[in-house]
Amino acid sequence: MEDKQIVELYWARSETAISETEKKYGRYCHYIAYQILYSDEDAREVVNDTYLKVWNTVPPQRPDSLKAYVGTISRQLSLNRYEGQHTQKRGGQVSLVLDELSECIPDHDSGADFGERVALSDALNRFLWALPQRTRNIFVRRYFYLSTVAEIANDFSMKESNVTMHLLRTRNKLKDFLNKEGFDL
Amino acid sequence: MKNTNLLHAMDNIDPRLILDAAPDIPRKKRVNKRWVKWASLAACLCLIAIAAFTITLKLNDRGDIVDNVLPTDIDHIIWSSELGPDIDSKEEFSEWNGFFVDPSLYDALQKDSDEYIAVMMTRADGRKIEETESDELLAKTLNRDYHNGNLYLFVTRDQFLHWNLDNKGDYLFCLASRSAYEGAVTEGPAEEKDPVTGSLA
Repeated sequence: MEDKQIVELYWARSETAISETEKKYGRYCHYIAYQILYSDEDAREVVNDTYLKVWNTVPPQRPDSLKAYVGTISRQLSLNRYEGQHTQKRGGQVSLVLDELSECIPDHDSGADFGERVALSDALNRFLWALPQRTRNIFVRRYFYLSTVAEIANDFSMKESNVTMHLLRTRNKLKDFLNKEGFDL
Repeated sequence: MKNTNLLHAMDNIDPRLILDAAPDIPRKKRVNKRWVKWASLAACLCLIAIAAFTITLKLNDRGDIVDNVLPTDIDHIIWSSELGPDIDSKEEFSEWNGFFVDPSLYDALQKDSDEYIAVMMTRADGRKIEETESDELLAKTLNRDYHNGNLYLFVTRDQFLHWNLDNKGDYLFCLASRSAYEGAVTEGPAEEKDPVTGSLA
């Protein structure tokens, strides 16, 4: 079923919308949640929470891409859950990714205001669109999907060391970019 | 707490960037339920076949003894793992241990001691009875014949009815009238012996 049809089912308040979402994007959401939480049980719960959140937000939302929408919700819910559990020693990619990104924005304020977040997202979008497609996709795979370096290397037919180097250079570019944009680094 | 601003900011990137970089998530291999159903059915059939084969083998083990050892052309034979039928009347003796009894055997049993009944013994587990073993078994008290691991005894009616043999369950017995036995076993008893003492007549 096409995304638009599924969204229409949500708007019609048909519960088939959830089963169709699960059928089409269940594994995708699970992947995102699992990369963050590193627990199958937690990931399943997050995926179910994702369906609930989509049900509660569509309508009024009418996402152009249901895939990106459910993926983003899964990611947000997973990160929230991760932060709620972060005192526990866990595996997964979050702590590694945070270490990597701390080079770009230091740990001075975790409670940035809404305006600053919007500005940061806007800057990030402009930065990413300016990158070559391959470099951009590698960056998004690492920092949106939290895919492992080994997985990215496999999917992009690269050596892991090359992926690591690629990501390091992109982060350095991002750091310079955000600096020029006036973000307090 | 580590800075998560940038990590959260990634939530708001353009959906096209998210879609463009989406990983190709391999499908989990689904178990073909139809295949499982047929495999289960096949396994059940195999189990039934094995069980049937095993039972048949066991039955054949017993059957082999009957088929291979018995002088099959003896009329009115009776196989049983037990002795001592109730032969008070011809009507009641129509069946013995589940086997049909021909009236001629009843007649033979009713006659005096000059008419003997042939009793063939063989082991229930199919092993041959050694000729020397037959002496121990029967304490040389009965007239007997020995062919191919089977022991042929000639007993009177009273001996038949009150035969006290240890480990009866280890043996199978075949009954026939003496005349029927002699007509069927070409070698026959080598010598006419006293049926009780075993001495030569």
